[in-house]
Amino acid sequence: MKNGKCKDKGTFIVKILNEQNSTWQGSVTWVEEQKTQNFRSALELIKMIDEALDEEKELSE
Amino acid sequence: MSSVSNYKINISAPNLINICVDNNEQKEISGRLYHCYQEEPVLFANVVELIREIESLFDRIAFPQASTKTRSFGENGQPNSGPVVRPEKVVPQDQVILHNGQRGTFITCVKFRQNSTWQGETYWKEKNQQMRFTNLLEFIRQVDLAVDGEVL
Repeated sequence: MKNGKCKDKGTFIVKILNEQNSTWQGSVTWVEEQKTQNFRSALELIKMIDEALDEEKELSE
Repeated sequence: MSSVSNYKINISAPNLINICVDNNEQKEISGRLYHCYQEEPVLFANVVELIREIESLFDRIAFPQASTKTRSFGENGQPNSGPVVRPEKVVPQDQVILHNGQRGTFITCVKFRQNSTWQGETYWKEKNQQMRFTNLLEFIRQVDLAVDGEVL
């Protein structure tokens, strides 16, 4: 995504600490909200980011 | 191909889904999703929407039940809306599997949701090929490779 083309939606710092069960475990930090949560799989990571962006959208509306 | 006995997958599973991929623009798949609980297709514009729709379906029908509750950034986790009324089946499985995608058709049965991910099998209709997956990443990779192969 090009910078400045659309409003920033969110910044997430992802740290992958393990690769058990052929998937990813680690922690993700939502920079704007200063919140960190651990995730146990790629699916959980995607769902957490997706939900955070939905939350952000609701707040801005 | 149309004969039900040809399918190398358990098509009587209540959570059977038919993923019809119609487009593969810039490595992003889009298309339609069919299942037994809705006559109209669920449209998805990318893989995240597809995952969201599938997870939401499994949560609604409570099958397969997830072995873990998805975490969130919120302090209390996901809002618990209490007991949910399970939707009724409105389309038989043999109708669900009839639809075809322009880029690929993947009849998928997720058997378990352990380790916060999916385990199951998918049947690539066009190639009459069965693929097993033990997690979401593997599933996405299989679908992506299959769709790319069709394009090439």
